[in-house]
Amino acid sequence: MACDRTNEVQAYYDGEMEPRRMSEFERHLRACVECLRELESLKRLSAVVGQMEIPRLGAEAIERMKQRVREAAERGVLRLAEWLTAAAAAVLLVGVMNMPSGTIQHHPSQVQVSTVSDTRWQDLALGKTDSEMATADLVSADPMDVSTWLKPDGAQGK
Amino acid sequence: MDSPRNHNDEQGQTPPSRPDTRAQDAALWKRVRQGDERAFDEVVQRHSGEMFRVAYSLVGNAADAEDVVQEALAGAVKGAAGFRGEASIRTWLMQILVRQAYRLRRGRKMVIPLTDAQEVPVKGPAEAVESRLDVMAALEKLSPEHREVVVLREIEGLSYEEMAAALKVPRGTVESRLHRARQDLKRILMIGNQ
Repeated sequence: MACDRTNEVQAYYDGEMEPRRMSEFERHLRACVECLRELESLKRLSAVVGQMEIPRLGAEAIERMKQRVREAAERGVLRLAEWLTAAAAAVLLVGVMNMPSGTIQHHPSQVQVSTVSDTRWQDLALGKTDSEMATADLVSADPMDVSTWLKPDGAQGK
Repeated sequence: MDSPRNHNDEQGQTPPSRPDTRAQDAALWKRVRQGDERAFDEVVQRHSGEMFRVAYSLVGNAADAEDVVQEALAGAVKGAAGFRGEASIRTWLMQILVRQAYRLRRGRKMVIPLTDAQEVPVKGPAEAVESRLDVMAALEKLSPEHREVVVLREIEGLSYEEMAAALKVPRGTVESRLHRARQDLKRILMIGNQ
């Protein structure tokens, strides 16, 4: 008769089963041929996969990586500088656009300027291009949303 | 009754979740955020090996694996300021690495380069499943999501929680994917429940 607990074998095998359940499950294993077979097949699978030969990174490859990482870090600093410059310019422009009305005055210091957000940094880490990264989080001004200003048709950037 | 397997102990590696390892990582990444170039080199030295193992298992050849690791580490250093420590450094790097590997594979048709395969000598047809080429070919037949969980668990020994963080899916999804992936892999490699 098929055992309905074979799906628990994996968690036991991977050491992910809750400790309070392990003793009971081990008692079950001692009495269940089907679960024992599943456990043995997982061990065999691990043994086979573990025999896969994976080449080691050579010293030259590691040096290439170090160089690449240093270059990327330098570009990251340059990109941030461009970013902040663009952000500052956008803030000033928002302030200037609002001033002449006379009814709503925004001083640049009152405008919310987001710093580099966590999501932005993650986008950089994941290698997204500038076109992929939204500028909507660049500046948030009250009452004007600069992202709508940047997209005259009102469409949100991607 | 054999006790449950502890993958990292079997490989003789320092479990990445140990407090001293995580503290060392945290100190290193603080220096990375501060722009310390020597820290960049240490990141490569410290993490490139295990990242390469995972990348190689995901993409199937050394050249692409090196590219994937390179891009992942470069991206991680660039984005270091945004890492807030919700997950371990290792998990975070795996997250970036898996995404880079997926991008590379999606960008082109991935074919196992048989010309550079170094077959492990096999004793006969019965042992064919133990050749490196068969395992890699078998991994290649899995879906990307299934291949990722198998590699992260069987090659790198990540816990379910670490895998969930690296793949940005719930723990339950990791468990179900891993279960299905292992069943598929056993079938492909003709490892039955005997």
